[in-house]
Amino acid sequence: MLKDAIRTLAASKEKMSMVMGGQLQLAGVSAAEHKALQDALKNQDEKKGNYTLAVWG
Amino acid sequence: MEDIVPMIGQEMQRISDKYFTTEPLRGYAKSFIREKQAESMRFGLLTVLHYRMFGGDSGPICQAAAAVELFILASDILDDLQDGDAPHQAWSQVPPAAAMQTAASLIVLSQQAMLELEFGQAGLLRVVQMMNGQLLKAANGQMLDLMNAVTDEDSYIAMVRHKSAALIVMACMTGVMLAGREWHPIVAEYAEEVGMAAQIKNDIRDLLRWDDKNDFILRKKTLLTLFLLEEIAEGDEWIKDYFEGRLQAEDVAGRQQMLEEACDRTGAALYGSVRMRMHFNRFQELLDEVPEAALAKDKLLQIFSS
Repeated sequence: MLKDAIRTLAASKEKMSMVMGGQLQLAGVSAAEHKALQDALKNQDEKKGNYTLAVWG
Repeated sequence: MEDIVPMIGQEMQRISDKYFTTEPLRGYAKSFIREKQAESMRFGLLTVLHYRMFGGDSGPICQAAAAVELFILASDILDDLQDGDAPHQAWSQVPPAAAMQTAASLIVLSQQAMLELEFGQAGLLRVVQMMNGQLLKAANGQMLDLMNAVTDEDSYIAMVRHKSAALIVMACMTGVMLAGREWHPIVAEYAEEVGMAAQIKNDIRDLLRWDDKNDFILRKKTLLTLFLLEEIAEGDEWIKDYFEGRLQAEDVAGRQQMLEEACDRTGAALYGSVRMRMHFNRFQELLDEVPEAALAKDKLLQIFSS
């Protein structure tokens, strides 16, 4: 499940790097969720409000 | 497309001057429209772009876009009056009762602008019915948001689909249907997806800002705050205590950094970012399924990123 996977990743920088590098597949996470997760991890500035995503808000 | 913005603004002013014949309504409407024009006309632009995408090339499409923007303006005014958090806006600087009356009048004006369009009567009726259907859907969502009636993630998603996404569907589909086409389910779906992405983007921003609009301070239930509250870690109990009213605003003042750390540590910010991207990625996939959008894709993305 996506939420569990994110909680696991938030607790482990190492696992986060592995997902970014494509070395770790997360159980119970769909392909669409995995793609979005990789995109989000590559653009971590988003959490500070600096969005690279082209959508108004 | 940007050259269309002044034309939509002029149409809004023309229709307003035609029906708002006495002061102060005329003056208030004029200044509110001017302020709206200076900010953005993205909904109207979506109407014009979709009209052209689906083969519309004549007719008073700017008047339809003006009708869409008049409704959006009314909705922005009411939203700001309800939240009381936009003191710089022109409508916050007049008596609230006058701003409210102007907003109500703009809603009727929007309808009148649509009904006066020189399109076939049968087709026009279908478009107006569609618009009203989406606007009533948005009204349901706005009330849920206003009452902070969200209880879990499913009810949050349902509220956003009503409140935010329905307005984008309305703007896009007005263009599609005025071009002579039927309700387009894929356009409706991609408009909904981009509406969801935009709302989640707002939610991330509104959790991490530290002012009167902060969702945490306002105890608003969003995708992120629900995630944060779902599994409270040791040391973060104050977050739940505040949300459940055991702590007051003065008790949590100055805890911005602690909240940011909790969002990082728990993955709440990352979860919001992932969910936002999922909706945006789905929007892009759906866009590729609409042949009529092929040539307008860049313009569409430009509107959504402006």
